[in-house]
Amino acid sequence: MQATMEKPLLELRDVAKVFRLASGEVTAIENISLAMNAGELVALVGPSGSGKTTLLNIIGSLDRPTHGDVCLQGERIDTLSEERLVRFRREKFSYIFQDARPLRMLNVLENTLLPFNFFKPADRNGKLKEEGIEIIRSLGLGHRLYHMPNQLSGGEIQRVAIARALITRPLVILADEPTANLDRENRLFVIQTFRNLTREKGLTIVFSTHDLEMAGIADRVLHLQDGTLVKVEDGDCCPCPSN
Amino acid sequence: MELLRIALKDLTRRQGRSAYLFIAVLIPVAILSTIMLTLDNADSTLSNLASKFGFTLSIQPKNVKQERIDQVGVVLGETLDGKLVEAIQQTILARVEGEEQKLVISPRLYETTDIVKDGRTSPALVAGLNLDAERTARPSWSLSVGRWADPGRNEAVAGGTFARVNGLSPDDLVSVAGRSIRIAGVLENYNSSEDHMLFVDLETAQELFSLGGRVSLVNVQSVGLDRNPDLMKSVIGMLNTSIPNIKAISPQQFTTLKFVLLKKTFRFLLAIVLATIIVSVFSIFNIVTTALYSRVREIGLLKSVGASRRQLLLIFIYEYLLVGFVAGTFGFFVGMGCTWILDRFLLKLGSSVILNPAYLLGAVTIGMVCSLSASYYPTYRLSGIKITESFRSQWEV
Repeated sequence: MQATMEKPLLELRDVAKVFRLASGEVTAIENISLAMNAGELVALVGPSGSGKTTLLNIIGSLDRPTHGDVCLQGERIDTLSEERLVRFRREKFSYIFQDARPLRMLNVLENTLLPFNFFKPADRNGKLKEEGIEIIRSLGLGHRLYHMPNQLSGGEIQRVAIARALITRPLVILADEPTANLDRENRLFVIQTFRNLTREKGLTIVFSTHDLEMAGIADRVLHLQDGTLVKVEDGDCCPCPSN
Repeated sequence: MELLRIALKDLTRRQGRSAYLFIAVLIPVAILSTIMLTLDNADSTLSNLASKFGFTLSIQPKNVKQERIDQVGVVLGETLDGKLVEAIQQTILARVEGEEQKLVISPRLYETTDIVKDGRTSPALVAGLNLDAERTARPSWSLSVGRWADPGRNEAVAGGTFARVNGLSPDDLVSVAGRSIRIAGVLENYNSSEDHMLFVDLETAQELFSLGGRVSLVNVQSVGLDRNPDLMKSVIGMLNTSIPNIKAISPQQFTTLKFVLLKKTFRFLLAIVLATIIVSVFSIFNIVTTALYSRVREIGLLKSVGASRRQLLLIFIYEYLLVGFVAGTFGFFVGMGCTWILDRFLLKLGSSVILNPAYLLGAVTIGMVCSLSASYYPTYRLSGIKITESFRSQWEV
C-alpha cells in the first residue's frame, strides 16, 4: 500500500454522470469522490448497472462527467479538448476491455505494438520491437509471438491485451471486467499479473469485476451500488487465493 | 506508412467485402473504358480508312457481304466481267459533266495463293491492278524501297507488312502460282489491309489465276462526285439499277455513316454508364456502411490504443483508394478486352486496341473518385464514434 500522505495520482471530486435518453435522464453515477495513488491496484465491484463501467470510463477520460472534476497528477482532464485528450490518453492511460479482441489481421507481436502505428515515443526509437517481445515473453506468450489471434485461447488473447496495454508505459491501466470470460486459472493469472505490475513497475491499475475472489487481490475494493460508492475496503477483506 | 500497412492488411483479410467493393468499382469503369476506347478506335480507324482509300466508289459483285470496314475494297471468291468497266464509265460520264479527263477507273482482281521463296511456302493475297491508275488516284502511295513494277514484266510490289513477314526485298524472286515474279519494290505501311498484299499487273494476275477478263471489283475516283454528295447518291442508285449483279458503294459515305451511327449509339450508352456510375456509387456507399458497422469494435480498439479520428479516417481512405486504384486499373484492361471483343464480333471495324495511357489514367482516377466519394461520408461518420459506444455496439459481425 502506498503512503496515504503522498499527493494522489488520480483524483475524482464529486463526480456525477447523467445520461440524457429519449425516455428521460438516467443517473449512472453520483457524488463520487476518491483518490488513487501510484502503484495501487483498485477493484471496482458491484452488480450490473451499478456504474462500474461509467466510472472507469470517466477515470480513463473516455467519457466526461456531467458534474465534478477529474484530475491526473494535479491536472484537470475532464475539460481537455478532444484533440488534447487523444494525446493525453496515449501518454497516460491504457485500456483493457472485456471483449477487445486483437485485430485479426495482425499477429501477437504486431497487436502488441499496435499503438506505435499511431504515435512514436521520441525516446524509444528502435527498441520498441525488443521491448514488445520482452513483455510478451514475461506474460508467458513467448512461443506465440507470430501466431494470429485465431490461434490463441481466451486467456492468451487477454494476455495480448495486457501486453498491448503495457507497451506504451502508461501511468494508469483501466480494465473493464478483464476476467469475465476466463476460467479460474486465467483469471488468477491476469489479476496476479496486475498485482505484480503495480508493485514492480509502480503502475496504477483499476479494474472492474463481479468476482469478489479476484477483487480481494486488489489493494482496495470500491463497492458501487446504484451509481454511488457505498463501501471502500482494503483488498485483504477477501481471502487471498492461492495460485 | 504504418497506417497504409494496416489498410493493406485489412484489405487482404476482408477479401469478401473487398471483392464486392472491387466489383462495384470495376463494372462502371470497364463499361466506360469500353465505350471510350471503342469510340476512339472507331474514330481513328474510320478516318484512316476513309482518307487512305482514295477512291470515290467501289463497285463489287452484288452478293458479296462486306462485314468489315477495313475490308472495303477487297473482294474474294466472286468476280465481275471486266467489260462492265466501260458501262460504269459511261454511266458516270453521262451524269457528271467535265469528268472525261479526271475520271479514274481501276479494276482489281484479288486471289489468295501460296508464294514460294527460297523453298519456303507462305500464303499470300495477290491483288492484280492497274498501277498507273492506282497511283493517279492515290498520290500518297509511296515505296519504302525499290521502284514501281513494270506491267507485263512479271514484276510485283509488296505491301510493307507482307514484305517484312516474308523477308522480301527488291530484286528477290518469288514463285507465284508457278510463275517466277520479281519484287520491284516495297510499299510504305498504311495500317490497312493493303499492307498484307502482293500487287501485280492486272493482266498478269488474270493469267496467273486463269481468270482472263474477270475482275473482283472496280474502283472509281471522280472529283465531281466527291464534291457533290447528292449527285453521288444519284449515280450510285443509277449504277445499281442499270447494271445487273453489281453493288456500288461509297466507302467514304459508308465509314462516315457508320461512325455517326456508332457515335449516336455510344452517346446513348454513355448516358447509361453515367447512370451506372451513380448506382455504383450508392452500392459502394452501402457496402462501405455495412462493412464499417461490422468494424465498430475495431474502430473502438484502434482509438483506445491511440488512433486519432484523422488517422482512422486515413486508414479507411487508404483502403478505399487502394480498391479504387486496383479496380480502376483492372476495369480499364477489362474495358480493353471488351473493346476488342466488341470490335471482333460485333462492330467489325478492324480496329487495333491500343493502350492509351491517358485513358488508363482517367479510368484509375474515376475508380478512385467513385470509391472515395461513396465511402467518405460513412467513414467520416463512423470514425467519430466514441470508444465507449463502440464497445457497447451490437454490430459486431
